Amino acid sequence: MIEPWYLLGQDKTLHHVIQATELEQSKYPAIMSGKHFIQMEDAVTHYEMKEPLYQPDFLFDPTFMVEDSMYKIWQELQPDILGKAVQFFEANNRENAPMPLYWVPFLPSEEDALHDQTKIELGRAVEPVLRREKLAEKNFLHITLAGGQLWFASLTAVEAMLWKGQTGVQITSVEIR
Amino acid sequence: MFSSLDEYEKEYYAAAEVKLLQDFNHWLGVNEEESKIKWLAAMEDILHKAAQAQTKLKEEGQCVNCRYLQCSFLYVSLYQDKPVFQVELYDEQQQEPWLMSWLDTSDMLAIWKPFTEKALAKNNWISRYYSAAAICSLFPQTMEKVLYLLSRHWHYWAGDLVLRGGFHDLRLSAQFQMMVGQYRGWQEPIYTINPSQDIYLHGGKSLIATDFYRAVYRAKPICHEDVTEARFWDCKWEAIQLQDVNFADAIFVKCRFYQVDFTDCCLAGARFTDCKFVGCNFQSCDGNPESDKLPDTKIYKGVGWQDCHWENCIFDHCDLSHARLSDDIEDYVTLYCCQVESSDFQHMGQEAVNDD
Repeated sequence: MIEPWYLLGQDKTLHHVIQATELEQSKYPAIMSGKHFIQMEDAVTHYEMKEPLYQPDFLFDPTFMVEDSMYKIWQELQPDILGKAVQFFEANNRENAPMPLYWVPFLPSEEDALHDQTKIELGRAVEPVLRREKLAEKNFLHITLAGGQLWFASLTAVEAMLWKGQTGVQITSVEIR
Repeated sequence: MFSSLDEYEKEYYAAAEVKLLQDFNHWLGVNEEESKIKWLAAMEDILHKAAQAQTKLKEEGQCVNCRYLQCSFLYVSLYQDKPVFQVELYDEQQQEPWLMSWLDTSDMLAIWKPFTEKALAKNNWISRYYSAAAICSLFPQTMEKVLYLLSRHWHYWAGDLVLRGGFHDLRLSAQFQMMVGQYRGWQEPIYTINPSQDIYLHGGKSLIATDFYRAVYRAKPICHEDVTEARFWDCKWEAIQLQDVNFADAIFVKCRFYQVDFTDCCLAGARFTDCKFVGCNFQSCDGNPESDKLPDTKIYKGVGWQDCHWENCIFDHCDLSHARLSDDIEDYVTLYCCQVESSDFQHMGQEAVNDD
């Protein structure tokens, strides 16, 4: 039985979000392909301390990242998810400054999980529709398109994220056919 | 003025949450009949569909029992402003539910929405520190508490469902549980069926949530037993002592009690429907749902008697606080030094001393 599925989009109402200063777009692109992921290594980066500073569970800049405790939930739900660590340190070594750990998650892109009836405009899925047969025995789905990348999560995954009090994503239902 | 989530939580949110839970409990109490009727109708409809599905599957050569009935709250449905519970029925063998349905609980928004609106108000925040998303991250822990409160009310409503024969047409496993909780997370049992036992010969096996049908208990005392949530159907109790028996949340239907002495028994949440009491004594029994002797982790109701027949019965030094009584018993029952706060016994006169 296939559960409902959801698209994870950026929560643009969040401000003062922690920002990595040294992650190059060329190595940490907004659209994470297999080739880029293989070439990445675990990294250390810095951030500028600001007041206030928010460390949401999900970051989208420069690429999609998941905070450590949330990433552990992702791994429990789908053990085949790969990840590369990004450790954040405060740029001026301030005492007691947070040192959050994020992960760049990766699953091979499954463009064929998008139903033919998905409307694509300028390389982006306007209203994604997923193929039912591609959703069995998974909780996350990653799709890269020319204009952007999409992360989808099953009801089980979304419930786990919401009960944790997730911050950083907007969750919207997607149609399954 | 708040400049951090920690400060906001300690200085404001914690108190607001306590008030929400009190309001929610009060709302459930005040609207209980209406909410319960709606819930019962929805559950009976689901159980009826489940019975039909079992019949159809059997015709197709597939025999499924009902081992678990899970009512899981979908937080995403609250996120989308249409709170629902997903109801799933499971067989012993299967990982997947064989029936799925939904229970609309949008009436809970009447309490939840004002709470979240107030929580998200920007008053008292230094504006640059205000983050709606960060405040929303506190809501799941609150909703967990709301869910638990709801599960305790549903526990009693499930008793009504049983009394109305809601499960009659459904093929249940010898051990069955109906549960409420998080989707693919914690689940709190609200109705359980355990294998039948003999109250005298159970040999230490649990009597909790067991059904007793047409049993006769005569002369031989029953002492120090825990029959929490047990159901007694058409049972007869004659000239018997029941000493220190835990009857919390037990249900008695069409039972007959003749010359029965209840001593030091716990009656919190117990329900007697269409029962007969003749010459019975209740001595130092505790029906108070707020009693210290009850587990802190659960919420109880007062003991209830509905459509019962009474003759020459005595309640002596009993705590009948919050008890419910649908019968006119004044001429048939005598109270001695009983606590009757917030109960339907309040209007009854009490005698000073029991000389017997």
